[in-house]
Amino acid sequence: MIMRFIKAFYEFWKDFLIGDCPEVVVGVGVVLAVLLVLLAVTGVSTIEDNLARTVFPENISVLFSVVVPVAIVGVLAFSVTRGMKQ
Amino acid sequence: MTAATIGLLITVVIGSAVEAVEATTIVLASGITRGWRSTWEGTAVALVLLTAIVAFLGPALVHYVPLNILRIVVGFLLLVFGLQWLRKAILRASGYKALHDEAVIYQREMNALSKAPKFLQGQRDSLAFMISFKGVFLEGMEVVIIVISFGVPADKVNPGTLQLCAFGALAAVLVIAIIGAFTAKPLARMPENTMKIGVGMILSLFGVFWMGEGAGIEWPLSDAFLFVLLAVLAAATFALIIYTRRSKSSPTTAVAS
Repeated sequence: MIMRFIKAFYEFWKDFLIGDCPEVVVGVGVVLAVLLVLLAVTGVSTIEDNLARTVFPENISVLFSVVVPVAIVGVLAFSVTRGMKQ
Repeated sequence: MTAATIGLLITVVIGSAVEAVEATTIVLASGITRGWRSTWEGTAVALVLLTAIVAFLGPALVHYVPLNILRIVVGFLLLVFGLQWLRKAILRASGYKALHDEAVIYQREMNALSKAPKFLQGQRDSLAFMISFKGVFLEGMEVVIIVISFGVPADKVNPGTLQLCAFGALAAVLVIAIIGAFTAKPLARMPENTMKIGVGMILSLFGVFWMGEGAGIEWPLSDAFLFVLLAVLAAATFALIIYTRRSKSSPTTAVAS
């Protein structure tokens, strides 16, 4: 009974998160991971100094506010294109 | 009530209505072919379980999970869910995927259920119970995820939003259930794909926004950046619909497929 419940729970989340388009969860996961790494590790200051502060005067958030939505639209476009071929 | 809260509430209501339409089709098929007693029992047990999940899990998340972690996890889930809805809706709008037809699903369920062995009069029908329970619970879980995903992070900032989202979802489910009960037919005329495009965009919109905020991005223009994100997502969605429709109707694609 417990095993059946665990299996049903696993199947629900697998279907919910992956379904027939695993590229969506992978794409969003990659965007989130890159975002977290860049914002968390010390290397961010290099990017901030070398890129953001020279190109964008305020901070790196401005850079991300452009890159993140574009990356998400890219994930959607890739997934739709893949869906057209399926 | 702020504009963002009204936006959240509208999205929760429409998203819940879409899921309720799918659950109503299953319940109607089960009730009409197998009888209403066990169908209602399965539906009621599923609804009690779903209500308990929202009642216990929602406040627990509000009180014990830090806002930034909530925003990252919820944003991630909303974004994945929203992009999947958008993808399906775009492919359906262009004909690459068959439209979600409640009438066809209803007929299929009716055929499958009427072929199953009959139960003795007066006894409980385990098949009707399981079909209605599973249908309502699985579709309802998606409503629960929408309510918790939208309600919990917003409740941290504006207390009471979680309850508002829960009542909004409940109202939407009740309205659909009442319409289904009176018409005794699947609600095939609802513009489900259009609603899915709208809800998919809003789910993705808040997904990106909260995931970014949780990770540490300070969006320019603060909350007003939601409108910029909405414009970007809407433009991308409609561009993809036009692109896929053109690809579908172009002669080279027709020959290739």
